[in-house]
Amino acid sequence: MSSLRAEQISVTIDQYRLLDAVSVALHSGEIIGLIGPNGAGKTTLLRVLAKLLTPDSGAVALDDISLRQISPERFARRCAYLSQGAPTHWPLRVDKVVALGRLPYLGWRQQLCAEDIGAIETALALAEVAHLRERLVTTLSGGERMRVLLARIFASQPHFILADEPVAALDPYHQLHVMELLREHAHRDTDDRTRGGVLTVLHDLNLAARFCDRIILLAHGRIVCEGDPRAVLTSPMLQQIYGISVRSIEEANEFSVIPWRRTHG
Amino acid sequence: MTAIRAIADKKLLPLLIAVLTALFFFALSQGPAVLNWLAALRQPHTSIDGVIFWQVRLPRELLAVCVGASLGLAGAALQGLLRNPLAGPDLLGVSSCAALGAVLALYFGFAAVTWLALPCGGIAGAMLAVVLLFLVSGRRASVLTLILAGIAVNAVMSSFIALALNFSPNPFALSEMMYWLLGSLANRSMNDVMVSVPFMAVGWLLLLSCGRFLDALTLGEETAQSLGFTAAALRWRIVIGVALCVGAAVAISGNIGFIGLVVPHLLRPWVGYEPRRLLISSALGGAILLLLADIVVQWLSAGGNLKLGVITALIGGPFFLHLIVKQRGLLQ
Amino acid sequence: MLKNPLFRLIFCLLFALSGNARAESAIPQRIASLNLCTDQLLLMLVPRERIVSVTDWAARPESSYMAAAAQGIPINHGLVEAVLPQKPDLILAGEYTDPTLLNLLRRLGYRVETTAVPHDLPQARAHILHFGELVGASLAAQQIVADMDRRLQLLDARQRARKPQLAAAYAPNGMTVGRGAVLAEIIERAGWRNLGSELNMRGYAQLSLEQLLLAQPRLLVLDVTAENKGGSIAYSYLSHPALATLARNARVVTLPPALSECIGPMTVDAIELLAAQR
Repeated sequence: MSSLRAEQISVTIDQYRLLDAVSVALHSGEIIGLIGPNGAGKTTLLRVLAKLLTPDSGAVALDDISLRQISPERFARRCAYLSQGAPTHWPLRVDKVVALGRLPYLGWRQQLCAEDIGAIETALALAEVAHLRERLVTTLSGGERMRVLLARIFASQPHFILADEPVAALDPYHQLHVMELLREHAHRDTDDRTRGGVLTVLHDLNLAARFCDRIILLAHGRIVCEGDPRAVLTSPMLQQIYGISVRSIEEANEFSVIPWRRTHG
Repeated sequence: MTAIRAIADKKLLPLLIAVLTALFFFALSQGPAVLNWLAALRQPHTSIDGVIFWQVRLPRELLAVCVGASLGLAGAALQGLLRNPLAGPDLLGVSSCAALGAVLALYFGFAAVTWLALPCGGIAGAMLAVVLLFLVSGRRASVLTLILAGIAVNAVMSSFIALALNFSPNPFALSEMMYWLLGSLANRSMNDVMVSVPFMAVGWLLLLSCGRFLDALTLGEETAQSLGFTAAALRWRIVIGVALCVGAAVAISGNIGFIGLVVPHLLRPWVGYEPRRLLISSALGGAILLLLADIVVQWLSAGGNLKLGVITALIGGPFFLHLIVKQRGLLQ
Repeated sequence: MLKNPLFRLIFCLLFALSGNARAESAIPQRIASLNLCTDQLLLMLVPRERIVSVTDWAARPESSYMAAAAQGIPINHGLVEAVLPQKPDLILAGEYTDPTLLNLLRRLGYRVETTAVPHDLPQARAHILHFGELVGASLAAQQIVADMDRRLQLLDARQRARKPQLAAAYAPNGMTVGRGAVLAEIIERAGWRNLGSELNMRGYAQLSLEQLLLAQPRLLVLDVTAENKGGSIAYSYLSHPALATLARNARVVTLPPALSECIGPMTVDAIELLAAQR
């Protein structure tokens, strides 16, 4: 059972305390949704977990080894990061973009070996973008692009996926598709070692409720509440944190919430 | 077109190498003297043909290849690092800053003290420019900020060069302004090759080793870092590599413009826009372009009064205008 | 500011109004010279008491043949304004001094003589004689010309003995001299063939290093036209390693600017220097 654990993380930038003694643990086999109002510190927490930002205090450990002792390359093989907005600066072919996911494995090699090509093909199939392989990534629709970037992540064969608002600009069809792919990565059921973990920042409470095993609610740099979606996404909690009222839905054993109305205070 | 692209995909490098080799030998055969090649090869030091070939023509063409390669490579690296097709060492002021460093080293006697002074002056100038660029425009600079910063640096450096030449003790100094602003490979010797090529070679190694990082940067700096690259260290490696390439090149040949801008641009579609593949292609392409320009210069003015930069500007200027028209959206 | 024509006009008018008399005398007693070549000729022909100022170039040994003689004489920097307070009765200007200004001075009653630059030795003889008349030193001028003639005759006599070999002049920026330039005449008079002339060049022209090497001249004349301080690209032409190969089979002589800047007796010195290399 693998874990990515953050203990007592604090981050202060320009005298503004972004995170205050936050502890988070991501285990294999689970998909965690990180929610909270704008400016709560979600992206900051994700970046700390992804080894992109060094916290002022506290430590992060992968399988109980401190991140400071793991080389960036080794860490890249275990954890993959999907950044917000996910830019692609050059109009590369889709298969070349996905091949970028193999960079942590290349070392000084310039050519892809059979193993790399295998991983790329598997990734293309998993993300259902194999038919787009020769297209230029800049000519794709938003949803197709996001799946290609996910394929890039799959190509790295990571254990843990850290995603920052992966579905922000997508239409409903693609939103569901991407969330399904992420959940599959976490729940894919072979044996304990290859089951992954996903931590994703989401704004959409509905998607968070339906697809995540656990929810962490962050506000003003602190964890307000965490646990099962049903336990966290309650009216009083959401009213306090977001200032909204919600309607909850229970349908065929699936739980969901719909933001309903703004309240005052 | 896609069929051509597919061929180009695999055969581009061999093609470029073949063109470069052919052009190199052609360039060596140009000149007012008709050489007896056998004599030149058998008696390099004693026959006149030998002296002309080894000491006059060969250094000049070797420098054309190395300077062209350095400028092309530096341009591709800068464009990859800044994720911007309009970045080029001359546009961003790196070349003119290098020229200032070289001018200070040459005209105020430092180069007479040690041969190291000239290339190191150029390299120091180039480093200063890149650091200034990053300071002024920040790491996530918009196109406009970068170009404005480049314009500012260029203006300041050109004035300083004029000032330095004005105060130089040498009576010819001020009239050599054109050399520094436009560049020339006339009258080069093997000494010049020895003085500059080692630095350029180190620059090539540094830049070529950053290819995969530039590929990763396609997805943004954060993703690149998450793919296992230490962005800060690699950024410095690219900065130093660019400084070595541009600094040594400008110190030995003046500010030859547009190669770092035009060559990567022309070759980018042929390497599938992949930044890593663009590096080596741009190096070869830059060498080819500069060799061509040098051949044209020698045809047009055997004595060498025409500056090389005039030809590259005649090619690069209109090209740059065309680029602006095509990239109008990018500049918004 | 001093070069502003309006300022000069005002300055001159004020000076004129101050009422100094400038009578024309038969032999000028207060001569001022505004360029290097007239400086040197003046110093050769006229005793110091009659000279009020010369340019700063005249006193520099690197560029002036008469540097020793110029020591202690007041310096003008070639500026008319510096000369006027010295109340000269003859101002000697070169071809390139501002003609408008000179005309103004003439109208104000100053005696201004512009002398054209001689382009070859016959012109130089005529020029020296004319100059001698201007400054009231005809006898001295005739002596100088006679001396030049004598030395040249000696040189010519020696020339006829041997067949001339090829010489090439090389200056910063890779320049050489062709027909019409003084240095070409110097080289030919000294008993050498001039590469630039044989390549049909006129005046100062660029010579490619390849052409120079191919020609394999027996004499390389380095025409150092000005002092070389600090480095420069122009001077790097003179230190190209390939020239060392040339130097193995040829004599290399540096022609100092003092001998080549102006035409006159110093030109004969230059000819003697090159003739001695044969």
